[in-house]
Amino acid sequence: MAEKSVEILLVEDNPNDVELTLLALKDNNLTNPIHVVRDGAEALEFIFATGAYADRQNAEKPRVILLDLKLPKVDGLEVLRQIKANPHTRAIPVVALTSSREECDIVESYNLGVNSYITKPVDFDQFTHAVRTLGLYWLLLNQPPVM
Amino acid sequence: MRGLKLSVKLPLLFVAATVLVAGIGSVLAVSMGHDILRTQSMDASVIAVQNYASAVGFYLDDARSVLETTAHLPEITDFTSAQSIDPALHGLPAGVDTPKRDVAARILEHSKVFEYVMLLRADGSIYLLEPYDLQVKASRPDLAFTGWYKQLMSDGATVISDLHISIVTQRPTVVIATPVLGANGQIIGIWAGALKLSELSQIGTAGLTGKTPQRYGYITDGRGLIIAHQANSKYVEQQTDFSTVPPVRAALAGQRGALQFFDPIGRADELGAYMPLAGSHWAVVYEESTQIAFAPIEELARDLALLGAGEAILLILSSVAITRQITGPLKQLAITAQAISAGDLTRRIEVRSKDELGLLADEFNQMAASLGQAIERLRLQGAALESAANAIVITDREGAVRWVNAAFTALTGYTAEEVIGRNPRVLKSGKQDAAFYRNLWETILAGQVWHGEIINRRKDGSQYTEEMTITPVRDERGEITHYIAIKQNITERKQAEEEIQKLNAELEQRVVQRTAQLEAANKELEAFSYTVSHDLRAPLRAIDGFSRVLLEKYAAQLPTEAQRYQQMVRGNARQMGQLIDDLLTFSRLSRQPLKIQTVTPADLVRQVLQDLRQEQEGRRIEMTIGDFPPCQADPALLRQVWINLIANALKYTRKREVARIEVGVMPMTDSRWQMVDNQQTDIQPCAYFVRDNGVGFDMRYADKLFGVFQRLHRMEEYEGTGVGLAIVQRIIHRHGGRVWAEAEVDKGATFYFTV
Repeated sequence: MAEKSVEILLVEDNPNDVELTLLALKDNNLTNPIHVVRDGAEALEFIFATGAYADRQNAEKPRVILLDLKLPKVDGLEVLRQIKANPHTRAIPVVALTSSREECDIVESYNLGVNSYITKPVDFDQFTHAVRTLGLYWLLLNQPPVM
Repeated sequence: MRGLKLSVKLPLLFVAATVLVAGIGSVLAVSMGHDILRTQSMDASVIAVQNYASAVGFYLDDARSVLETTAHLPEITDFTSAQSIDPALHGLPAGVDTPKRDVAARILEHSKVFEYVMLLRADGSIYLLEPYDLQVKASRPDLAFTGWYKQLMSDGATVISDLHISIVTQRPTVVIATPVLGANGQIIGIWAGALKLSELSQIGTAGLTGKTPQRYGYITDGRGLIIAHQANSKYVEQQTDFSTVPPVRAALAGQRGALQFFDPIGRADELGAYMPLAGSHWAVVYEESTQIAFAPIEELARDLALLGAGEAILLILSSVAITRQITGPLKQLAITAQAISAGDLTRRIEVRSKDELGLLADEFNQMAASLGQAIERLRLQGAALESAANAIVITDREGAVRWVNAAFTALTGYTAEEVIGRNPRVLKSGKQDAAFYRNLWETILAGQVWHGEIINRRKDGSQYTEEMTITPVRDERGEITHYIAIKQNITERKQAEEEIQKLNAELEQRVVQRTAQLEAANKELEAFSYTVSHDLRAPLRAIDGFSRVLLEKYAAQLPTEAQRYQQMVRGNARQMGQLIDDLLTFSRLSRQPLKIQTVTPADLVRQVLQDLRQEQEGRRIEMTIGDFPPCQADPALLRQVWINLIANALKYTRKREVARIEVGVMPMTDSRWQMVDNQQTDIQPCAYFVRDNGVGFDMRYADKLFGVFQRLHRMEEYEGTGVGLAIVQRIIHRHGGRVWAEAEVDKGATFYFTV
């Protein structure tokens, strides 16, 4: 698993949401390799190939990151900040996933350079619809960034 | 002079001035007259002396020529028959050698100049002397001792003797003697005549008048003894010596001329002309008393003096009169002025003349009147200053106190007597530094007003704070002469201010604390909202999500009833999600700041209808949109109001065949609304409304309409969370507006709001 090419990185602590998100992706026939990390610290290790993911030095970066903003250890906004602050990872599209509609989150994540934003609605149908729209866009239409 | 009264001074001044002028004029005139008269008199004297000298000269020449002529007569020269003479007889006896005596007698008879004629022998002895009665009186028989004999004998020519006493008459005489020559030319005898000096004195006296004429001529011999004197022949008799008289001395020295001199003989001032008599050693003088010469001018001077005196008396009288006229009113002026200065300002001068004095009196009366007004004003102002609530201090330029009022004493404890003449620094508390006082003095010395607060010390040592204004006072030349300081005790005010400041500080502290508490509370609320939105929704999402998975993937294994239940689970989860979203929206409205700007409500309404088109699909709706004026509001929030109200209208008309919805605006003329909105009277107040023909509601529950979670319809009839109208009310209230509704069951409802 460490060596395999990961195209979608899902950063999500809530196991229910992980499962539902994977279902939504699957429903949309997005079968690209997906890796799930459960907190901000792990997300950073994966992205920057440190700690438990030190062996991913030469692996390709994910083509899109679905990032929950409310995370244990290191929160989503901090993860976003570090991705966008690093020249090697800056080009990776990040789609913020959150159940929050709090404006400060939205404004802050846009300020940090988030590429898109999905509010996780209670209605799963709406969520599926949103994932389809945005996920497709970033995965299929965007060319992988030159590393 | 200074001590004299004006009534004396003025006449004195007039008289002195007039007399001085007249006096100077008179003296000048007299002096000039003197000069003219002296010159005239001297000229006249010179002529007179010349005439007199000529006359005397003729007289003497006549006498001399008589003797010289007769000396050659044979009767005289013939001494052949000369008789010896008895020396006791002092000459020939009568009747002897009669021819000679006859000649002498003829001379005496024809020429009145001689008193007697005598013939001397060459040795000087008297041969004969005619008249004979004089010959017998001769005290000596010869005259060889006389000077004129000796001179004749040595000169051999006619001589005129000096004055001497005749041996015959024993009176002064002058002898003219001529030699009698013999055949060989030798002197054989002397032919002489003694002049009648009284006759000589008569020469030229014809024009002289008076007993003792003031103009006269006289003759002296070579020694200065008087030979003839026109005025006083006594001088001749007394052989008076005139040699000390200046004109005599000058003439004897051979000079001629005229001068004014003091006559030591007559003891008087005289004018005199003089000259030596030709052919003799005699002096001829003609003199005149200055009393006479200058008499006209003396008279003039006397007249002038009299005139001056008269004038002076007249002047004194008239000036006394005039002065009385002037000083009378002046005296009254002085008396009135004294009365006024003594404080009686009602006094006036009664002078009715139209001259300067009248004017002066008028001016004086006016001055007294305005002085009275000024004093009255000053008295009032003084009383005002004295009774002023503020302490007032007047100092001179150096800062010495000149006046203080009662409030000053009340403020400082010092009485006027204690501070007048002293410097206000007695009040110094030491609370202000030197720089403070330097600034104060620099300000007022520059002529500017100083204003400030100052802590001073009372007489009893206690301190107080005063607010002081120092104003420089200038005189008409612009020089600062005094300073006026006005002080107000602000100790209590300062204490009150400090109290207020302390309270304010406390209040501010409390506000800071409260604000901090509020901010903390707000933060907590935000954190709560965040948690709610995040954490409450997550499980709902899971419930809905997995229910869906169940329904989709395992529908075949689920009985129909189970599937329905599962659908209900999903519906409730979504309902709860909606509730949470509405609650968050509602709470956010309270926290978001308003962004008021000009909004066009018609545009907002059209956008809202566009957004709500899903709800309008498949329905017959008659929508009326009115004409909206722009208004001031937060556009996002106002949009939320329109969304909620129009969505409600659409929702509650769902069962109508034809839904009629009217969105519009109406002016607020109803007094009921005016009352509510009377703080906005400057704007034409208007109310927006959304009217529908929906199910309406019972007005009895109208008060519940805008409460959170309050619903008037059952859920299965009309879905909703009961938050929409609460949001509307919150937004309208935040805009300072009002929202209300009118409705009737099954007839429709109208929702009004103002912003």
